[in-house]
Amino acid sequence: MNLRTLLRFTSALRFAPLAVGVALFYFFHTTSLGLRQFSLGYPPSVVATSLEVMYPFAYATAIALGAWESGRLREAEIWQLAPARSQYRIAAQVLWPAVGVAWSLLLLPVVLGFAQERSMPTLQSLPPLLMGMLLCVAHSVIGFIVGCRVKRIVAAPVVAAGAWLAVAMSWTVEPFWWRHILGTFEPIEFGERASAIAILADVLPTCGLAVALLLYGVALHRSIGKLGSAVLAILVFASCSGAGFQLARDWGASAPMARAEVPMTCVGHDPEVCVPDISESMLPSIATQVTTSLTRLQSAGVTESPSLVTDSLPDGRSPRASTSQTWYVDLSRGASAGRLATLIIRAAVRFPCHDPEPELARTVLLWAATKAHQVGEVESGFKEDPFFDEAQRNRLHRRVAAVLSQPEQRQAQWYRRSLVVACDQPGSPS
Amino acid sequence: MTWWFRARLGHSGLPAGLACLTLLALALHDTSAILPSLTLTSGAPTRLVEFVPIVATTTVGLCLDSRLENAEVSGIRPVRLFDCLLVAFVVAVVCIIGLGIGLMLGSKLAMEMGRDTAFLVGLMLSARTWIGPSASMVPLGWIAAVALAGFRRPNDPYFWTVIAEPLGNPVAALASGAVFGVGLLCLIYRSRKST
Repeated sequence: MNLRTLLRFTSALRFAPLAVGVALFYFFHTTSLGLRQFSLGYPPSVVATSLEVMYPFAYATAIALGAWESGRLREAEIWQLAPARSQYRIAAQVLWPAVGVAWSLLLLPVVLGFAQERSMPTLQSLPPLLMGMLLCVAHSVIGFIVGCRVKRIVAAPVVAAGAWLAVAMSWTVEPFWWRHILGTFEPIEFGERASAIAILADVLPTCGLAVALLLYGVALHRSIGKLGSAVLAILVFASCSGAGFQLARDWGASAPMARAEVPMTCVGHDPEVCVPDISESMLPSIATQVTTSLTRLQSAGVTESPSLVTDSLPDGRSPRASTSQTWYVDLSRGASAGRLATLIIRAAVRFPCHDPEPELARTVLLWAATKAHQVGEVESGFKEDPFFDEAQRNRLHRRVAAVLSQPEQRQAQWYRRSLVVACDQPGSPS
Repeated sequence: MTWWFRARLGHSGLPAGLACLTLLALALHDTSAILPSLTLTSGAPTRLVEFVPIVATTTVGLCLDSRLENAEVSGIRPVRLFDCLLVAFVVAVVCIIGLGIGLMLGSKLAMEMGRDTAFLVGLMLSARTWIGPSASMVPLGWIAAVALAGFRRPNDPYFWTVIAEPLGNPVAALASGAVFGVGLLCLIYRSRKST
């Protein structure tokens, strides 16, 4: 069949305007804003955020068009004709426009997303997209084989509703493994990338079902008989979906992410200050602020200077703990939000426990802020705390003033003791 | 009437479809899910029972498409009248099933199923006049559109959604009756040759 004939008869082309309309509308109405707020132009984030809402629509489109085209062939009694071409070729020929429309639902938002964020796709950003495209093929195969057995006016809406519901509602239902095995991918944060194992868990069940149906419905009847192909199909499906379930069974709300290599730009020496390339323009001012604050804090005896202060932005959802030599501070976001000094002071005042007594901790922080000449910023941070009222603030100021009136030597002693006390005895300020 | 009954799958497809519908309605009568939405950032809370009428619309489509072409075009029997009766019968049975399940299990949502089915069947029949068998996708499209753009706030649907409105809503009831009527008219007056 030549291309023009194919395109004139395929249902995919008639459905395409509607599908593309939904994709465009979704992008400009919802995705675009999310990208601007969260993606930072980081390619894996751009891909994942653009695709997040489109997966169910793409899969429903693929499976419905697959069933519809298959029904069209069946009603035209293609399969009763003497075989001149391979059945697979016939199936592939009517399926590719269907798969193409489903792919456009995935590709379009990704391309628009990269255009909006003025960023270029990288190799490590593509797995969620490729996974979606592979699963579109699998869904269209499933639809095709269902359409070989069931009339298309029944098959198409039923499989489309099933696929759309199963995938779309997976985000809001427990158990969590449900959402990890149906081919959706959650937003990826800066510094993360999709891990191979998460992709595998997403791909296995659906592809297993497609292969099993293919084995049962088309491929093996002639060589190993109906029963044999049924047994084999059940085995394939059970092992694939079982493997996917085993992988995802213990995952929480989000699948495991791999750490991406983020190119960093560094400046200075002792401390060396590093930020990701995307915030390179802010680096000079960040570095100046970091070194000034550190020099002041050091001379007040608050902390030893680390050899490396690096941005925690590339750590995504799995932050690394600072050591005395390497500090992970949220430099870029802190600088954009105008609270960099607070973050440096918080990193410098290293309580030996995770949860120090809050009142004393605030006293120490405000005292350190005074030493770093950054009282204003730290105070405005305190003011945002709804559980910290005017009276408490006044008491805090009186206590800090009392400490500051002492000689330098005594202040440093008080500071070192307070770090221990805040962790030792909750509720007993010195 | 016997050949019409058998040609329309009255002995096989119709009871099978209605049995599927009953089972689905029993399984889903009180389940909701959050579906992706454009108008609500938190997603549209959708009662899964809204999807069950798809079984009824596809059953109706399947039965009406199963014809004895030559006999029907040339015959003198009032086949269209029979067809209308068939459609009305399906909708009536779904209403009874919905009411039965609703009263038995105390589920208000299941009772809406009859109204939703009347609306979606009417929609499907009207669409068949223009787009032929592809019309069987229209009810699903409507349900998806309601989830996507049908809600002002959670549990506050726009009036045009019809299927998302609560049971006693007069506008929704009137709209489903009207659309069902239009669907039947389309069924009666459509071209004889179309399938």
